[in-house]
Amino acid sequence: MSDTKSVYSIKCTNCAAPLEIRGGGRVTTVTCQYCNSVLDMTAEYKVLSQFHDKYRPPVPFKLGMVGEIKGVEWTIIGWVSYRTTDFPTERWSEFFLYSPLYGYGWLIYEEGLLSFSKRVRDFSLLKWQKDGSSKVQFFRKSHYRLVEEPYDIEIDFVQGELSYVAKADDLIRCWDYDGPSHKSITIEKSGHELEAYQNEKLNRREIYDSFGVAKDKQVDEKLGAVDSMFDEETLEASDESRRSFLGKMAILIVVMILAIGYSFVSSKALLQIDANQPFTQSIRVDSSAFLSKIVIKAPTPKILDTIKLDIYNGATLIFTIDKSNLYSKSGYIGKTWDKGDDEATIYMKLDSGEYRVALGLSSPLSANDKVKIVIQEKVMRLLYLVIVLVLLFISVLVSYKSSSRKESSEAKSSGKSKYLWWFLAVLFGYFMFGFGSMVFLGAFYLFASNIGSANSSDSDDWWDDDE
Amino acid sequence: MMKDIKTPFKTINCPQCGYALPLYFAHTKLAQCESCNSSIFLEDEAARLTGYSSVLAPEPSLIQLNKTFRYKKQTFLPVGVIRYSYGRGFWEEWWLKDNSDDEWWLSVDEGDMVLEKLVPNEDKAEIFVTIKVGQTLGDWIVTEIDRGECVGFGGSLPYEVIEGQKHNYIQFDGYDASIKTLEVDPSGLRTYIGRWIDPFDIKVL
Repeated sequence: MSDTKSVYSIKCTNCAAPLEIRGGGRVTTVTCQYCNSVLDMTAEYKVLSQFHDKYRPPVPFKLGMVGEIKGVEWTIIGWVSYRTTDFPTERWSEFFLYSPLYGYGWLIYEEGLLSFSKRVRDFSLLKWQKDGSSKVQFFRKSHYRLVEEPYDIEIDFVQGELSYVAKADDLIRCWDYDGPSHKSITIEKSGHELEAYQNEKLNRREIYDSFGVAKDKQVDEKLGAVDSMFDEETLEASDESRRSFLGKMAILIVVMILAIGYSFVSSKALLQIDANQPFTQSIRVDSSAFLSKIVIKAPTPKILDTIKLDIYNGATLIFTIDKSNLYSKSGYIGKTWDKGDDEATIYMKLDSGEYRVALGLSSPLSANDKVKIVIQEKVMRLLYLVIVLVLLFISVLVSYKSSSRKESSEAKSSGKSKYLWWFLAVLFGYFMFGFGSMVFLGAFYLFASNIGSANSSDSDDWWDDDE
Repeated sequence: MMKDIKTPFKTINCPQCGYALPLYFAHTKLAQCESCNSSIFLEDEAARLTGYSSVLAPEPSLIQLNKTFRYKKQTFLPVGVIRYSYGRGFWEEWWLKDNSDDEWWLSVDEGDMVLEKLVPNEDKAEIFVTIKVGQTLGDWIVTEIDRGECVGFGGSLPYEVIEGQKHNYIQFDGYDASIKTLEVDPSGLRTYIGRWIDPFDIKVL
């Protein structure tokens, strides 16, 4: 904390220009705005170094501006511009903030994108070093993943007050870790210093308004590589899309639960006969929704082995089962009952229409030995629903993880997510409402994807594509 | 029914002006009279006047004497404060009582906050002569060795402090982001262990 509560002025010991000091007790240097001399505030403002002929980047903020971030009032007291050593044209500015109540923080400005950064002391740097700067870090109940390989940055330009001595071309090695809720962690290593910072993206409009940045100075454009790191423009949009995503997911789950409930009351018996001699019976399937279920129950395994059940559509045999074979015209549906079984249950797809069921017996049964044949339509197999629910759950997790990560591959993963969603929808439609709905969904997808691709050029929001 | 955190352990009267002073811990040794600014040393049930102490200049701070705040699920009452100067600025050490009547220390320095508890000493005061920054002692690494000067106090405290008194300290960081502080002044060596806390987690009640 500072012994002085208000702003005071000093004269630059190099050029005598008046310099305002605003920043509390932990600032150690002030860099003159006029001659770029770095003055040591702990040693009678001795000139430590100079930033002559350094590139002064155009920025919308200036020293002395006051604004609110995270509900706290901050004053901009210093400004450091950095560049990466690998891509020296990649520059960004960090404004040193001071609050008498909350200490120091940083407002990071990069091509119109803003984030707030504060040093965190409860990140275990000792453990981080001991673990060999591992790729995943756990901090304040959240996991943070290393975004890219560590990179080096250099100080390019300095102005105002800082809590350390900044020197031109000072080299700093950085590790960036992305976490949830637009937060990230940066580890900075320079000389003998090792520090951890937690960063949080900010709403650009709110910050510009709060700090009183004139409209003509407000930068909206984003450029190239910075987008993936600080894509602030989509901050609100991604929040909204996540809410929308979870909302639609909830609706889908409710629909599935209702469908399961409906299936218990929707199934209808088409045939239910206790027979001890061969018969032929006509049935009518009204709906191709869900599945049809065939149950054959015999008093003993030996009696079951005498049974042969055929189903015809007109003159065409579409289904037959006996102790040796199980055949379905629509494709493989499993194998027949095992030796020793006295009951068999088969699920298959029967399109709506008239059918003929024929029971054959390889040897006559006594009057007391009756076999039970039951055929139901609109039956839902819970096993299929469980599989679909598991797939949906996995897709929610994958989508949620990918939306909370701000990686450049986000667009790709959201594309995959889109296909997964359509695949699940088609699968769901097929099991719920039959082949017709699958064709309908496929046709609808082709129609909707055309609209989506037309809209995608107007929007960065990946969810728009899905709709 | 839960006891009000502001309920004092006992109340004494200022030997100078008779003002009722609340004491929150049985082992309170020093109190400043809110009314006449007298410093009162408490010894064996007796209150001895040690002189006047200057009132701390008001500074903006999240933490205020006798104003409760919440950190995570715990409520704290600041009952005393010592302000130390490091030349260009100062930091404050707040003596806190929680809602279980336990005592804590909160160090506040330009938004950096450390919440610690007093623990038995395992080191000797001689450590201040030999130790160096960067040195490792068990699971601890020395990150700071410095000194401050007491510029005043407020409320009540568990030991005597005198304005102008030097205060040497060593700060250690632990592997689990914990922190250990050794302090030495004329009243003796003290060891504290605790954690850094985020000022954004402090909710003033």
